[in-house]
Amino acid sequence: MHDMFFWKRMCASFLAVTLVLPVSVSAASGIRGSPKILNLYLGWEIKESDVPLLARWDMLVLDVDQQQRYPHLIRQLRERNPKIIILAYISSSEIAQARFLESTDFPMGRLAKDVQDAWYLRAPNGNRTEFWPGSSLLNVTNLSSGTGERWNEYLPRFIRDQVMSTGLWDGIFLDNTFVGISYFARSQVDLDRNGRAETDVDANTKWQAGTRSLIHAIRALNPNALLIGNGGTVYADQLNGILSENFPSWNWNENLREYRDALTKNRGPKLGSINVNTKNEARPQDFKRMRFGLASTLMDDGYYSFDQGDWNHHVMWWYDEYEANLGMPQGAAKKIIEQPTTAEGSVWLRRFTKGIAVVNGTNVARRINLPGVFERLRGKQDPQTNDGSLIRTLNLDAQDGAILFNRSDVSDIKNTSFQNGSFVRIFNGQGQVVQNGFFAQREDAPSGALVFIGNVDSEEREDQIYMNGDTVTVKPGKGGKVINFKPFGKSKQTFTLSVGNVNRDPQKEIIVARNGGGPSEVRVFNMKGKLLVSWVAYNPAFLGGVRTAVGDVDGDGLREIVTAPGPGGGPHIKIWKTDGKNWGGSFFAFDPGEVGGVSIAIGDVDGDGKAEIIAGSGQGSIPRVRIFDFRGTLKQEFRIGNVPLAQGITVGTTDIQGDGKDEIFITGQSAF
Amino acid sequence: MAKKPSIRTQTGFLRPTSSVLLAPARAMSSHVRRIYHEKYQGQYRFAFIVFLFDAFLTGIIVTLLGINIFLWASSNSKTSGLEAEVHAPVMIASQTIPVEVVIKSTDGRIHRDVSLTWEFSPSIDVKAMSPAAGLFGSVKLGDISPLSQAHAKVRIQVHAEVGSKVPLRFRVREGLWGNTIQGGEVRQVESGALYAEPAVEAKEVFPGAAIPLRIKNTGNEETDAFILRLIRNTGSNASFGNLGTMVQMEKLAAGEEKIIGIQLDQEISNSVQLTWQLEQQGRIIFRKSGIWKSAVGIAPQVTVKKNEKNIEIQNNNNTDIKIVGMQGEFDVPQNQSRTIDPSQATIGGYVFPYIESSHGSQLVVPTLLPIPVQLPFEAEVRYYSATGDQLGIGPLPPREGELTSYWVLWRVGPVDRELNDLHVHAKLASGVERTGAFTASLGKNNSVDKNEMDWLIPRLEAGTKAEFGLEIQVKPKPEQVGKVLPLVSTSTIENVFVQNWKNPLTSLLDSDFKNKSPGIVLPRISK
Repeated sequence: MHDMFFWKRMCASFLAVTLVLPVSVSAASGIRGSPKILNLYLGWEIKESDVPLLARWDMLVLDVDQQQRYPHLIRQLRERNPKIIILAYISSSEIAQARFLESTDFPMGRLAKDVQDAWYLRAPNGNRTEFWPGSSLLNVTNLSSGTGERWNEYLPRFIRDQVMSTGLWDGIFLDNTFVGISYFARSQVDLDRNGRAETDVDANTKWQAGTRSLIHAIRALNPNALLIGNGGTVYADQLNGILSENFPSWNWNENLREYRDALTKNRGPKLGSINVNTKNEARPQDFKRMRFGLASTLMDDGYYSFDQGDWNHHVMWWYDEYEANLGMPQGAAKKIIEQPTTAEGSVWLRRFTKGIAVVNGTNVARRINLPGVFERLRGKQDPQTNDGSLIRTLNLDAQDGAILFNRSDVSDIKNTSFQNGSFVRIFNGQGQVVQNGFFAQREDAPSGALVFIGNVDSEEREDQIYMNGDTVTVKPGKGGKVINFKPFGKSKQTFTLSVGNVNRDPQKEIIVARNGGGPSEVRVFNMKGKLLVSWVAYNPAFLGGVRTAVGDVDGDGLREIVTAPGPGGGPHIKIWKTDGKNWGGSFFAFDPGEVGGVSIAIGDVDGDGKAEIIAGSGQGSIPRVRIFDFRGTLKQEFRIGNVPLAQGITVGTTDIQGDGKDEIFITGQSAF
Repeated sequence: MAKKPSIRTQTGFLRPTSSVLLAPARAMSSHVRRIYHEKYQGQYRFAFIVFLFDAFLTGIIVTLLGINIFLWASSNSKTSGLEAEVHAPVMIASQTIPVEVVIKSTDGRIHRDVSLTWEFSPSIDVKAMSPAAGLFGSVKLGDISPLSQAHAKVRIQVHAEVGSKVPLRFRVREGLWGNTIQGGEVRQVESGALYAEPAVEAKEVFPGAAIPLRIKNTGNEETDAFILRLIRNTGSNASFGNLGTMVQMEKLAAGEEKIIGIQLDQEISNSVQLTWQLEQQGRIIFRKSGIWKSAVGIAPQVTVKKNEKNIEIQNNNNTDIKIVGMQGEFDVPQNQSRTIDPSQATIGGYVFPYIESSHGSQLVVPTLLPIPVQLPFEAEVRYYSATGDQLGIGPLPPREGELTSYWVLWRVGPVDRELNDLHVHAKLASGVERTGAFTASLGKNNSVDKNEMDWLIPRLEAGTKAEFGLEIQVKPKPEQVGKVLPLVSTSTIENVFVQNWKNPLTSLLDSDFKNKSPGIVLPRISK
């Protein structure tokens, strides 16, 4: 008895405390689709406040010592972005003097302690060699001696025992995977410590063989580790990716070819990447250089990194282009303009499902006729370039790139109903216009009809449902019989249409209600026009009709039907179970005195995985949108005009940009 | 081994002092321990955890309470030394009302950087403000010395029903973090500029009759647009005829009035009850109900004939008939006719006959006057939409040898009665052609020829409008450089009864607010 009371009391206490205390909710982040982005974040320090920012990258390289300093932050990064790839930075053939000062609590401190004198790469006179100031080169060849094991045998074991065993990393970023050593050692080298220098060719051949042995051994001991090498593309077949640092390092055409060739040879999953930087100057606003590198990267399937340079791979520069979801690539990049033979470079273009990337590798500005009409990004950083304009020709500077979206049209509106022929404006959940509006006109449906395009019958092809006047028409995508029915009999009234799955079968159902001029009755039909359930959503004496939307607003995996009254009633939103039983939730979307009716939609506009309820203002009101959670808590509000709109606005949601967040599309404002 | 006392404890001063200071804490902890032993220990398996939870919760509640008390006390702890008074005339709904707040210093000191923030209810629209509000909605009034006073003026419009209470509130703040006083008062809306009352004091209605509503602006200024809506009807299916149960009313000038009929069904109950309301900015500003009995017998009717100039109304009944028209009431004696002016037609083209009987006035079936239908028809070319979205593509202004596309729109309506089989036709200028993209809010695109547009509207309901858009493109020729480019030659709309037409359209884009170019064709860019 007391036990039961105890637990009840504990639960009540917990509930009370959680209601009182602020709750922090961390939404999953990360950028999906193209462009894929890489951050070489190699500084010593990571702040707690860096985590949400760093979690936006698709791939992150951190110094291996961070596993000791910030293991909790690495875990937080994964919580925020479960798809992120985090690699530990380790040099394949170098050790910095600073590592010898580290405690052996740190992996590199332990490694420094283990480094044997025989592993250093020496000149014939016995002196240690250096490539990077303050770092000594290590002999990665199979000639390296030592007690028990060579350097290229020790490192794979170290990676297994001291790095990958922590469970924090997806793999290793192996720096300095040089093609050969003769250039980097800055002197002759004595690989076998016999007091005589190897010839350059001999040294490089042995270096390559040693590096290959190293990578092979790392793979053998760490079969699940992803491996990226920084340096020579000769190891592409052994690695998941090669980083082309300081791209373009000598010739854009040739560097691009190498990048693409390496990706062809890489093991899957392919993680080839390009790093473009501002040559160790803090120039985050060098947008043209950033675009040039990004567009170059998009000519294949690699990752892109843009930062200050090899003296400071420790920045979090973020660009509008990083958030431009181009979708999946549509085939290989194509050369569309060849530079005159007197100069180098060419112009390349690659198509994606949501747009194109174009890069001008030549040293002259180019005017490019695009394969259709495209839309520039809408950005704040470089508004002259990313001005959101529609173009069919592109003026591109020398060594510049562009990311352009396909022009949106009616075919982008899916799984929501819209009035055929209406002018659609596209907003994100913050109320910003994300693309130019367009006329949602389908020629295969009557003008003025309410149209729904989506997979209704769970077959592969999209089905079409439209309501013209009093008649609903269902056209299965697989062909076959077209079904017509009149949900409310013969009528001159107008109606609302929504489609969604309201029961446990795989097919969706059709929800129809009067849009004013009658009781607020909601009727649910199956695809064949059979009435499944109906109910009156508001007081039966109320004759303003009702608007509906269907979706899972409470995140329980079951859908709900949300209703809003038509004109004449207060803006009272109600949530229903799909069988017409009151779910229990209701709230006022606008001031209770506003009686112009409310338009309603459901969609995940903030990408948190939960659907929000979107309400549009009614007749005679200043047009505005409010976004609520299922409890009726106002999450966002914005105006889309300053003049009262006689007919009100109609809201809908659909993921036009394909980024996992629904956009809000609004009709009711005339384009003219 | 005993610890050697320190010098301070040897003085004997610390012990009594600390005892006194710690006494309340000891008393509190003793009280808490007693509560634990009496109410928790032995009562639960995990008595101490339960006790800690309760103590934690109590602590949070006490802390929150304390914070609120502190905030409340600090906001009221000081007198601000400022006094504010509201001056406003009688509240009249839908009329612009000047409101003024006068702020004075009452404590003899200079108050620096005084600002005022208006806090109006949603039923109030602000039309003008002096001084203007800043970024965060506050009005800067500057310094207020003992001998001066500051004025904040605002012109508002109230959208609320007569009798409702409207708060006129504001906050006055001194400096950025200084004292804040809240002021204002709640006023009652005494009257409304707009009303909608039955135009006839009828007590009975015949089946199929219409109840004329007179909508009048009694104010001394033009009103904003508003909505007339029928919200309840029992005893009959009622509507504003083809306009449905909602009518969008345009602005009414001072003293202007309109008449519209609530059309009843042919079948009505013994008693008909109706409620209608006026709405402005989404708020109800007027609501009224009425009850009518069903009239017994056969409703008298009038017939209408139209001659060249006027309309003749014939009363073939053995009873006098009165008629409500837009210009006032007039009689048509029994078995006589009367000529009236078309200006008598109310919204939808109706007049409303009624008879006086021993039961009082009885409304009969409304009469539709054969007056010409207004057919609003607009045509325009756009590169940007009215909301700023880009519709056209290509150089603007157009450039020789380069394609520029535009959208042309034709808009029909709203019409005051239903029209059928409307045919809209346009011919594009030479060198201009359709791209194939179009939009139609209603009807069917019948365009076939590349240089023409053909749009058929089978039915356009009263009070509604339809839009048709067509994407066109043009590549200017060398001889067009320096000239405005003709885009659409003619636009016509017609059916068997009515027709209208529009002037040619060019690249001037008069109605395109975002377009900054004069529309004159530019020369080709030399390579």
